[in-house]
Amino acid sequence: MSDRIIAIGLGELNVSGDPETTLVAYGLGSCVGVAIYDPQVRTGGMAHVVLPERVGGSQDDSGVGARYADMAIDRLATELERAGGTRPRMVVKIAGGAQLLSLPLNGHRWDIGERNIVAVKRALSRNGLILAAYEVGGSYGRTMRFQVRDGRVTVSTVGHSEMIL
Amino acid sequence: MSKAFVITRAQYRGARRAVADGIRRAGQSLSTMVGREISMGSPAIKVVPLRNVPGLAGGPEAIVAAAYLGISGDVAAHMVLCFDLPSAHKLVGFLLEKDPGDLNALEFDFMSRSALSETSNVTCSSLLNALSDHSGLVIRPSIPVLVVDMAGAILSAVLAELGPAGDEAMVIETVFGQAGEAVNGHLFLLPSPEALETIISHLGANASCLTESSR
Repeated sequence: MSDRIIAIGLGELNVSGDPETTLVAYGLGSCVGVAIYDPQVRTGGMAHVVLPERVGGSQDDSGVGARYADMAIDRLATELERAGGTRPRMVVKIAGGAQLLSLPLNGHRWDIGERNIVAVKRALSRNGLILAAYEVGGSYGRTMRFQVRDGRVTVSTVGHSEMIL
Repeated sequence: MSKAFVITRAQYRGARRAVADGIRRAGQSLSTMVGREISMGSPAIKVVPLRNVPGLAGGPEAIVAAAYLGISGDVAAHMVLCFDLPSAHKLVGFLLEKDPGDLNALEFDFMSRSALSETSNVTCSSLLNALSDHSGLVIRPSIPVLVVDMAGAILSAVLAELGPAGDEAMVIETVFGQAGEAVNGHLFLLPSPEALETIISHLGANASCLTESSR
């Protein structure tokens, strides 16, 4: 068991090469957790994406971290490269993007989860990254755990059995 | 909220008074529904870093039975009433006058869900009616939707719908409970930045003509 847990909060990202570390995104709802691993240098990073893209893009984007899918993937891949990773070796796994709530509210569509998944996939392909495994969609929350030691990703939910990606 | 939001002393007092009155009314409604005295903690109006929002109802992985209500009319906002699982089962037991059974069961049957939804509806509507009375704004709740899942997943999904522009969210929160046999819950009101500005400015403007005070 790893003994060091780093919680990746909403819109945050973190990269670690410490084999004793587990990166965790707790309670993903419509958010998408993105785990990227380079098995050769045994370094991984995780991002907790909240929204597909920034609306009305003229604001300063420093400090938004991994809130938006496109920026999150760029930053995560770049930080992994800085830590010795190489894009062709990177293994990507994602979880989340659920639709927990659904009701008509002034034509509101509650589709952020779905849009997050699409935006993350698009950003991955733009960055030349291949998606290895995913557990996305549905109508339930997820917690995603990513062991830096071996790149193992597990997804736990309420009322469903744990899944290994 | 990326831009600075300036609030006058009168507006703040008006907001506090309206929210306190709303919470008091919500507590009365909840107590009447349940047939027992449920005390509402004094409401906190706080600005919370985004990363902390999912953890506000007992931790991001805490399993809760939550009722969600969308708010429309003059303002757009979201409202979530969360009960931890044992509290939700106890509430159902009180409402339907039956043995609550397994307090950690994830499933609620049709009658239980209906009872929880109706209780949430009445509780939330009481708060919203108070805000409407104090501000003069039209505040219309949707029907409640009941979800049993991780608190963090529910709250972050609601937060994402607001399309947070800054690093913080404005949250009106109260913790409530019943002496002895604990029924614990959290009530959250998450307005959009525009809605917050509208509510606050109307509460401040109307504050002087109100005589009722919850203090």
